[in-house]
This record gives sequence, structure tokens and C-alpha cells, in this order.
Amino acid sequence: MIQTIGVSKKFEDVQAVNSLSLEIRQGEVFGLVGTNGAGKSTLLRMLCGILKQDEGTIAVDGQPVFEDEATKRELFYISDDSYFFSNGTPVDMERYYRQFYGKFDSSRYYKLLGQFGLEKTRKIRTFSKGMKKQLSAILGISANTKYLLCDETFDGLDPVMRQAVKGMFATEIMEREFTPVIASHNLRELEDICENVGLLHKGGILLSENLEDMKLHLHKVQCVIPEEAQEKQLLQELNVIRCQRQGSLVMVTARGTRSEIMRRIQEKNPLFCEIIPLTLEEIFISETEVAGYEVKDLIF
Amino acid sequence: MKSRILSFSIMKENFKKQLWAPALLTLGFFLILPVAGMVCLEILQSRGVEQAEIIKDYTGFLTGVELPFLSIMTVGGAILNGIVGFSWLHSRVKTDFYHSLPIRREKIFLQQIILGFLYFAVPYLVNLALAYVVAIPGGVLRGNMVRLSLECFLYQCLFYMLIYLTVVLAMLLTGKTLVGLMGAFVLTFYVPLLDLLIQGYASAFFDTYASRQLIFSKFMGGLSPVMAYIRCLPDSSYEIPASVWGLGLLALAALLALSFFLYRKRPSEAAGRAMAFFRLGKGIQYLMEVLVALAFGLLFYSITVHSSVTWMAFGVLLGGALCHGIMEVIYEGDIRRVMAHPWMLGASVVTTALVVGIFWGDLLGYDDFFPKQESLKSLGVHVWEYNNPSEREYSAQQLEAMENQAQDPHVYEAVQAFVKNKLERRDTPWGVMWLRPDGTEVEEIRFVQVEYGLKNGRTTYRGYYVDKNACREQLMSLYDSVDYKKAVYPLATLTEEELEKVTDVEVYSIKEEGWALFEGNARARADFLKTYRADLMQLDADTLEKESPIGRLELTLEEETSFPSSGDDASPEAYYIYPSFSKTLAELEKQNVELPEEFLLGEVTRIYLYDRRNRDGDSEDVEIRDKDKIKEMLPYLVSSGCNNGFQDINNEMNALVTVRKKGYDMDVYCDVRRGEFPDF
Repeated sequence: MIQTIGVSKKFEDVQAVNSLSLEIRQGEVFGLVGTNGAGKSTLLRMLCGILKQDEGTIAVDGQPVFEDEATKRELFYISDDSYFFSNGTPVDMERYYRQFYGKFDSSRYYKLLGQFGLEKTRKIRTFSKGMKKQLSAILGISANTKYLLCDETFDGLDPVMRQAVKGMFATEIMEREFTPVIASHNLRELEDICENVGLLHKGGILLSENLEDMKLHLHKVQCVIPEEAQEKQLLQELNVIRCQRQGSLVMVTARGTRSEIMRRIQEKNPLFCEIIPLTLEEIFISETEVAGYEVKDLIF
Repeated sequence: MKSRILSFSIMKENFKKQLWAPALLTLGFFLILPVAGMVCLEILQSRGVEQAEIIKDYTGFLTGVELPFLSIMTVGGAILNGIVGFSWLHSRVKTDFYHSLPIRREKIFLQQIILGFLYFAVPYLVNLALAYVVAIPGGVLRGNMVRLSLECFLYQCLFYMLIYLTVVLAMLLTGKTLVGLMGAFVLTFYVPLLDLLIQGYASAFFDTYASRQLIFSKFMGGLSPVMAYIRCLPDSSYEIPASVWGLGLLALAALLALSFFLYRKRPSEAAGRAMAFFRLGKGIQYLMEVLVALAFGLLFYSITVHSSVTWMAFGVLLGGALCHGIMEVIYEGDIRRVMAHPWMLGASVVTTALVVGIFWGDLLGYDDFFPKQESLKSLGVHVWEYNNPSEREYSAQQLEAMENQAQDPHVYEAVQAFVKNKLERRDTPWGVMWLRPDGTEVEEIRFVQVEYGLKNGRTTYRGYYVDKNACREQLMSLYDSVDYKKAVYPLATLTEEELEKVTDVEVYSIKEEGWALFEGNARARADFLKTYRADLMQLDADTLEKESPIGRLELTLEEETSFPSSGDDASPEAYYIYPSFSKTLAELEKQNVELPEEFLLGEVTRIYLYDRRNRDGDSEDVEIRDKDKIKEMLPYLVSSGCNNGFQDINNEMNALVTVRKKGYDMDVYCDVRRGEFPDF
């Protein structure tokens, strides 16, 4: 488990992370979202021991990370701008990482390279941005660490490769003890892979919750209620977060369990009624509005 | 699992990434050791040079004593490896990469330091071995050669590490490679430059500054690894003092500890910033601003006609502001921030003004310094241009040789008179040394350098420009001191054995303008020199005042030896021969060497007297062609090259003497002695 308590980090006059407390449980896929400059990269760099926090504590499996070799051997960091040796090849990178990560799975590495169509002896500097991202992810997976910290890893990948990398993560999660922490400014990238999501804003965390839990208590429904008075009453009865109308079709995002919301709609004799899956974006808008933040103005 | 400090496999991987740097050094060492060695041996052997000489030259070549290439490799290699090994700290991407790896930072640091050493030492050692191999076929290789070259290898390694760690320190303190390079320059040369400036200020404001190192200059040079390296380079004796090893290793340990500490403290986020440590950065900026302000102040003071303090103040402000602006732009990365932190500029300018004030007002009483006789342990006095044709810049040995003058009360009194004479003229307007307190011009100046050895262990130097006429008595009494002569003339103290090391004695006739080599073996030469020495030691100031030299002796010592007072200067030592040196002249006569007076009456056809200060003016020049008048005038003439400094020269008059030699007329420029010469 990764745990941060009251962690702060300041770069000269800029407060990058401010008294941040967070818990990432083992085995879950944790998404870290926020705008540019929200503190995602700084947090990840602290989590993997690159930066030392000014205040607070960071513990991975109960141990501090900074300058702790044993703890860091269970963490692999994929930077948003990964470094590869000049003139280095995937083979060179494998040899180098193998020196530090005792559990590095070389056979898996070369197998994945083959699957992703990356030539092992080609100079990395001739790779495209997306290919470099794939290589970073493959290196991270092959390091066989318990925690994989990914900073904007999906950025620059084409949709096919994005799914392939996500698939690779999913396989790892199923096969071994593996906790990826994925930072992104794009909520849509995370919604099909993350179980828990933390929203960062101006160095602080606005919320950190399980995505399914959030979905259980928030629903989006589209329906047609023939009676105007009935419709008005329905909107008063429901805990409506958002309401949009297209002709006679009403789209309502409301808090409450699925059965509760459906029961109230059915009582109003709708001509048509359907539950629509919520996007992560919509969930966040609703959740953060509760916290008093106009997040939609900030991140979408 | 890698928990050891040194992991060969990790170092091997890191080595692969930096391969080009050791490769470049290997190529360099290959060219300057085995290749150049082969060329050197081939040249020496083709010239038919004796085997012993070849061995000596090749030893000098392998140790870097003969050629500067090894020094260039040492300094260049240290700078190169310092940058290559640690410039990654200036890249956020690279810093993130290395610091995210499960390895403690001190291991990364120490492994890189070791690699940096190996990049230099291994190519050096391998190519040194190849240079030995090259020497085998010609039978040149000797055990002593190997020993000396290995000792020099260790010496080069020591200073390589000192310079290397200084560059590393600069890399650690900064966050951009360009700033790091500037930092390396500052760390390497700040202290020598400051020392130079302080000496410049001392020279500009202290009348008694004696162009010798100030008291703190001695250790300031040691604070720069490059300067210390140059200062400690082994000479042809190949001796490296134990103190160099001791202090060098101590400095190495200190630099290593400091670098290690800073590396651990250095935040990863410093990559890309100008300075890794904000406060330290400001401190360095302050020191730089003071240095540049001092430099500009001195520059404007020196280049302006009247050396005015107003110009100096302008220079201080300009230098300070320029340096401040440049450093702010570098630090802030924004040209619009050129005048940010004005308080910093203010502090620098105020500090500079204080330093300038100390020199300007002589607040430390530098010029007033004159110790009481009871506080003196030694006293060395040297009068510049006194009867020493091969006079050099004073060496430390020369002054040390004069220390025993402290025992002579006359010497102390003479120095006291010089100090008094100088102080009397201290407040005269600019050009203090040329005016008397009453405003009249001083005709002749003598520069007297004094070394005060104090009982508290301190040694300090002063130089006094004294009015020769006002201090004539003291100057003459000084010369009559045997101790003074012993100190000024190295020949006076040579032992029997040392005298026999004089390989050549050449005699120059001032009149004939020709050379003769003293014939005879080492013993005969030594005997002749002892005869000359006896004459020299009996020479007194009165004789010097009356006589002009008629010849000159030039002594050459065996190679790799030098006169006690000459330091490393191996050029021949020269001495005048006077007409009163009867024993010397008699010995020379036995060798058929005659030294006639420069001007023989029969040969002088004309004497042309003119006013030296108004050559093109309307003064009346005098031309003498009458033999009787020429005869009367001749004793007053001193050939310009033969002025021993004691003769009482008339500063208003010069003479051009036409001498007929071998059918040709030659003109000789002469000074004219003061005195009641005939009115023509």
C-alpha cells in the first residue's frame, strides 16, 4: 500500500503539492487526474523517491521511499518524458535495468517487444514518440515491481496501442500482485482501467474514491414524461445534479440508487425511460460540485 | 540485488554510456606517450646523441618535465570527465531516470567519481607502459626512468583528481551545464584573480609595495587547484616535496567530502535551474560582483591619465552593475530581470568601496610599516641596479641570503634612512617618487627592496624609491658591508666544489667588444675565480664611484645546477671587472687577455656634449675635437652600458663620443659624471 500523509512540496515560490493525504491500496488500479500543473507528476516523483517531500510522510508498504533501495526495488517509474541512453537500443536498456531490478523478467521483456513489434537492436532514438512510450511500459511491466508509477503513459499512443498497453496492465493485475498508478490529465483515458481515482487540483486532492462506488450512487437517465406537472414533481423528488432537455426528452443526472431513481420515474408513467452509463467526467463534475468546486470550469 | 557501494556491472554499464570520454583520453595519451616517444627517440638517435643523454631526455619526456602535453592532458581530462560524468544532473529527464532507480545516491556519486578517475588513470598507465616498450629496442629503458615516471603518474593523478573534483563541485552547485562551466572557472580561478587584483591595488596605492607576494598570497594560490598544480610541477630534479603530497591528499579528502555532502543535499529538482542551492548561488553572485567591480575599478584607475579615484568609482559601479545584470539574467533566465535584487548590487558595491577604501587610505598602515630593531630576526636589503650586470628579479633565495644583515646596525640604520626619505616625500603630489618635499625634482632614484623577517615568524617585503643624493651615505655604507656583497654576488659564497662546477668563464672586453674564453681546467678556472672574488670583495663604494668597468666575466655552471641565489634561472652569471682589480687583470694577462680602458686618448676624435633633457631645444651643444680638451674630459665620461649606479652622474648632460677603431668612426653614448669639468 502506498500512503501519503500531509505531503507538501514547494518549488521556489510555487506550491506544487499541498498537504496531500492519499491511500493507494495494493492490487488496485489507481488513476491520478488533474489539470496541467495540478501536482500529478510531482506527486509521482515523490512516490518513487526522486523528490524529497518538504513536509509529511510517504510510505510504501510501511517503509519510506526516499533513498531506500529495498522499497524502491518494488517501484518502477515511467516518466512522461522517459530517458533512454543516446544510441541505446532496447537490449541496452534491458541490460541496464536488470542491474537494478533483481526480478527483471528478460524473457517476458523480449516477448513483449516482439508482440508490440519493437525491434530489440534498433536505436531507440529512431523510435517514434508512441514507440518510446510502448517501450517504457514494457520495461515497467518487465521490471516485475509491485508498483508501477505511470506519468501520462497513454499520451501519444494510438487507440490500438493504448488498448494493447491497457491489456498488458490488465494481464499483469490478474497474474500477480501489481498496483499501477496512472497519472493523466485525460479522464477518458482512465475510466476503462481505473478502479480508484484521485483528483488533484492545485497541489491538493479534491477526492479519492472507488469508481464503482461513485457509479452506484450516481445515475444518468433519459426519459419522456407526458405530463408537465409530473415531470416537475419528478425533478423535485430526485436529487438532480444536472438536467438537460431535447424536445420532450429529458436527460437527468441524479444521486441515488438505480432502483430508487427508476421507481420514482416509473411512478410518473413515462413514455420512455432508459439508464445511460455515466462517464468518469460526469461523475467528477457531480462529485466535485458537492465539494464546492466548479471543477468543470477547471478541468474539462 | 545491488547493495554494495561498488557494483562492477553497474559501473560497466555506466562506462559504456560515457565511452567516448575515456576513448578520447586514450587517443591523447597514445599520441603523447608511445607515439611521440618513438618520434623523440628516433630524432635523438638520428642526431647521434649519447645514450646517457637520450635516457635523460626520455625520462624528462615520460615525466612531463620536458613537454607540457601531460599537463594539458591532466587539466583537460579533469575538466572533460567532470562535465561528462555529472552533466546529467542538469537534465530533469536524466536526473529523474537515475534518481528513480533503486540505488542510493552516494553510490551513484562514488561510482561516477571512481569512473572519472579510471578514465584518466587507466589510459595514462597503459600508454605509459607502451612508452616503456617503445624504449626497449634502443636500450633506453631504465629502472630509475620507470620509477620516476610512475611517481609523476601518481602526482598527475593527484592533481587530476583535485581539478576533477573542483569541476564536479561546480556541476553540483549549478543546474545548467553552461552555468556549471562558468562555475568551474570561478572555483578554479577566483582566488588567483582576487590575489592578482589585490596585488594590483597594493601596487596602485601602496608606495612601498615591493612586487612581492602579499602575506596572504602565499596560501591563496593553494586555493586554486590549477594554480597549485602549475606551482608544484616537478622540475628536472623530479623531486616532489612531501608537503605537496600531504596537502594535496588533504585537499583531495576535503573536496571529496564536500562534493559528497553537496550531492546528497542537492535536490533533484535543481536540474534546469541556474543554481542548485539558492543561497549559495546568491553568495557566489555577491563574490563575483565584488571581484568584477574591483577589476573594473582598477582598470579605469589605471587607464585614465590622472589615475583618478572618480574614474575608479565609475569603474566599480560599472563593473558591479554589469556583473550583477549578467548573473541575474543567467539566474532568472529572463533579460527583463536584469536589475532584480538591487540590494545585492548595493551590497557588492559597498563591499568593493570598503576594500578600495582600505587601499586608498592605507587604513592598514602598509606604507608606515617599519619594525623596531628588537622585533627583527632578519633583515635583507637589496639595492636595484647596483653593480650587477646580470641582475635579475630578486628571488626568495637571494633575499634569504641577505637575512644576516639584520645583525649589522649600519644596515638597519640605512633602511631607517630609506624609510624616512620615502615618508618625507609621501604627501607630495602625484609621482611621489620624483619630487622632494620642497617641490624640487629628485635627480636620481634608487629602488631599495627590503625583506623584514620578524621574530613572530612573519616575513614581509617593502620597496622604497629613495633619493639617491639624499641617501648617498647610507647607500654607500650598505655596499661596503661584506654581508651585502655576499648576498648580492652569488660567486662570493660558492664553495670550492661549487666553483669547480663552473664549466665556462668568458671574458668580455668593453672596449674591444669581444669575448675571450678562459683557458684551463676546472681547477684553474676555480683558482681564477677565487682571485676575482678577492678583488670583488675588496671593491668599495668609493672605487665604484670613481671607476668604470672595463670588462665583464660570464660564468656558466654545469647543467642542472644554478647559483644559490638564482633559483631556477640557469642563465650565465655576469660580473664587472674594474681597472683596480689588479690581481684579476694580472691573471688574465697570463692568458693574453687584455682589458684596456674603453676610451683611449689616441682613439677619441670627438666628444659631443648635449643637454639630455632638451635635445631638440635651443640649448647650446658643445663639440670638442681638441686633444687636450678631450684628455681633460675623458675621466668624466661613463659609457652608458657601464653605469654601475654609484657614479655621480650629471642628469642634465649626455655625451656622444666618436672613437676611431680600425679605420672606422664609432659613436658611443655616454653619461657625464658630475664634477668640475672644464668649461668649454
